[in-house]
Amino acid sequence: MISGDAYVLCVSLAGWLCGRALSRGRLGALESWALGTAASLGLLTLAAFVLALVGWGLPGPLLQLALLAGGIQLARVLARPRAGQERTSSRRTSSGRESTARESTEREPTEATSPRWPWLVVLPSLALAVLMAGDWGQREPAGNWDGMANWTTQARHLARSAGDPGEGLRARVVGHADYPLMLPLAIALGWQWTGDETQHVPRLLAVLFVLLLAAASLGSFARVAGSRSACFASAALLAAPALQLAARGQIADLPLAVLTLLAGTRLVASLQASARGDADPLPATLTGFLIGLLPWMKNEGMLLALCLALAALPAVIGRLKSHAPLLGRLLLGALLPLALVRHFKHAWAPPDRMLEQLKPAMRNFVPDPERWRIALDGVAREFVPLEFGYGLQGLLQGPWIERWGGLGALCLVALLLGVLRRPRAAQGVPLLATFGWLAALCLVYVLTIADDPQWHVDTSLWRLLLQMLPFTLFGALAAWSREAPPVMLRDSIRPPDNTSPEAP
Amino acid sequence: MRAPMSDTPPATPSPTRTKTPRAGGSALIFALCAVLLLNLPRARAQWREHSANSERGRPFWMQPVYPALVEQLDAALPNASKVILFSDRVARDHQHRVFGLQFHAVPRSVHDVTKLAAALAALRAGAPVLVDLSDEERSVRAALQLAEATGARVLHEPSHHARLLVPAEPGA
Repeated sequence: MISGDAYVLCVSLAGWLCGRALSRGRLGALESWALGTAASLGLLTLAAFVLALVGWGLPGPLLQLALLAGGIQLARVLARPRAGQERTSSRRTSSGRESTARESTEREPTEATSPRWPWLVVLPSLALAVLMAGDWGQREPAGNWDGMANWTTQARHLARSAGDPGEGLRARVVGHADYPLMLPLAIALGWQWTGDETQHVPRLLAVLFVLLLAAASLGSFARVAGSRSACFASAALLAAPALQLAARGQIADLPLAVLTLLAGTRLVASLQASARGDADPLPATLTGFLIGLLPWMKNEGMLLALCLALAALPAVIGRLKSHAPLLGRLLLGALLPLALVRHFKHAWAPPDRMLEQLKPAMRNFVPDPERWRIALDGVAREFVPLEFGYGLQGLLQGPWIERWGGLGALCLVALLLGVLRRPRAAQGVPLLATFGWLAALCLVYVLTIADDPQWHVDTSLWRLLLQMLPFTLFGALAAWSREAPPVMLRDSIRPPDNTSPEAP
Repeated sequence: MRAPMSDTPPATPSPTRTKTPRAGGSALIFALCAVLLLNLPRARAQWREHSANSERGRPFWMQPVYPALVEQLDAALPNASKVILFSDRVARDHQHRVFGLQFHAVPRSVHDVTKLAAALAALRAGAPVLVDLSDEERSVRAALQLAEATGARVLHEPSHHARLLVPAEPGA
C-alpha cells in the first residue's frame, strides 16, 4: 500500500516538477501539474513499452525513477529560455507598446486576489468524485468492465510475462486485448513497486485522474474565463452524474477525457502562439506529444486525435506558411507515441474486429436507415428531451437530464452561439472538434458490428461523449469569456514576439 | 479591431474591456451554477446508493466464488489447470486471479445454446467449462443442454446458479 502510494506520489511529483519547468505563473500551476503528470505517465509507459520490446522486461522502481528524472531534466533543458530571449522580452516590455503577455501577467494578481470562496464550490463535487473513484468498499473491487477490471487484466498479463509480454496479450481470448497500453502499463509499473498485484495501484491511479481532471479544468478554464468562473464550471463538470458514474466505475474514458482536455487546450494555445509568431518549440512539441498519447490511452483516442487535427485545419490552412513550424513541431511531438501505438497494433494486439469487417459493414450498414435512426436518436437524446407526451415530467426525463443534468446541452448551445458570435479561428477548434466527434460517433454506431446496435448505443455512447465534454466546456467558456485573449502557459516568462513581421 | 475569422489577437486590449465580463459569459456562469445545483444532490444520491450497496454486502459475483465447485472439480479432475468460463460478466477479474480461469466471451445477445458453439468445442476437447450467465434460468438451461450434447457431468454450486461441466473424456 505504501509503495503504491509512493509510486503515484512520484509520478505526481514528477508532473509537478515538469509543470514548474513549463510555467511559473500561479494561474497555470494547476494546469501545469496536470500537464506534467499526464506527460510523465505517458512518457514512462512509452519507455516501459520500448524496454519490453527489446526484451528488458518492465523497469523496476529505480529505473522508473531514473526515467522520470530524465524526463524532468529534459523538460527543464527544453524550457530554458534561449540566449537573448530574456533581453528581448525586457526590451519589448519597456517599449511603449505593451504586449498581450504583459497584460496577462498583470491580470494574474487580479485573479490570485479574487475571493477565495469560489474554490469551496469545487470541493463537494471533487470530494464525491474522488470518493467514487477510490472507494475501498466491497462493491466492484475490481472496477467495472471497460474500466479498472480491463486495465488490471491487461496489466496482469504484462506484469506476469517473463518473456514476450505481447504473447500473453495475443493469447487473451476475451475483452479488449487490443486496447493500448498506457493504463495497463501504468498499473504494471506500480506493481513493480509494490511487489504484488494489489488493487490499490489502479485505485490510486483512478483517483489521480479525477484530481488531474479537476486541476486541468480549473487551470484551463481560469485561463480563459477567470478563476471564479472556472470554479463554477469545474464544479458543474465534476458533479455531472455521468462523470460521477465514470469515476465510480473507474472506466478509462475519464482519463481519456483528461488527456483530450489537455491536448485540446494546448492545441488552441499553440495555434494562438503560432499566430503571434511565438517560435518557442517546447509547448508545440508537448501538444503534439499529448495528441499522440490519446490513441496510446484508448482506441477511441485515434478518432479524437483525428478530430482535433481536422478541427485545427481551418485555423492553419489560411496561414500555412506561418504555421508550418507549428505543424512540424506537432508532428515531431506525436511521432513517438504514434509509432509505438502502430507497433503495438501490428505486433501485439489481436486484430480489431471492427476494422477487419469495416468494408462489409460499410456496404451493408451505411445504407440501412434504421441504423442511422438509432445512432442519431441516441446522440440527440443525450442533449435534448425527446420523451414527449408526459408534460413537464417528460421533459425532465431521459439521458439529457438524468445522465448530464443538462450540462451537455448547455455546453453545446453555449459553444455554438459563442463561436458564431465571435468567430475566431483558434476558438473554433473546440466547436469543430465537438461536432466532428458527434458526427464520428454517429458513423461508428452505424458501422458497429455489435449484434444489437441499440444496446451498443445505450451502454457506451455516454462514455464516448464524456471524453470530449470537458474540452467542449472549455470552448464554451472561451467563446463567452472576456475580450482579453487567453493567457499562454509560458506568457508569464516569455512575452510574444511583437517584433515579428506578422504582428499587428 | 479584430477581423472575422482571424486568429490574431488584438494587440492592445483595453484594460476596461479585460475587466468587464460579457453578458453572455455571466449568463453561462449562472446556467452552470443552476446545473451544479441540480447535479450536486444527484451526485450525493449516487454516492449514497453506492455506499449503501457496499454496506449491504457483496453482489453475488463478488462473493467467494464457487467454493463447492472448486472442491468438486478437484475431486473430478485433479489435474485440471484451467476452466473455460462462459459468462456475460467477463469483468469478474478476481475469478481469473483466484482460479486462473481462462475467460471466454459470450455476446450479450446470447439467448440460446447455439451461440455456445465454442463451449461445445471446449467440452469436446476435454476442457471443463463453467457456465455462469447472469440470468439463472438461461445459465442452467444452457449448461444442461451442453451437458446433454457432450455427455459431460454437471457439477452444481449449491448457493449459485452456475454449473460446471466436466467432460466425459478429460483432455490433457
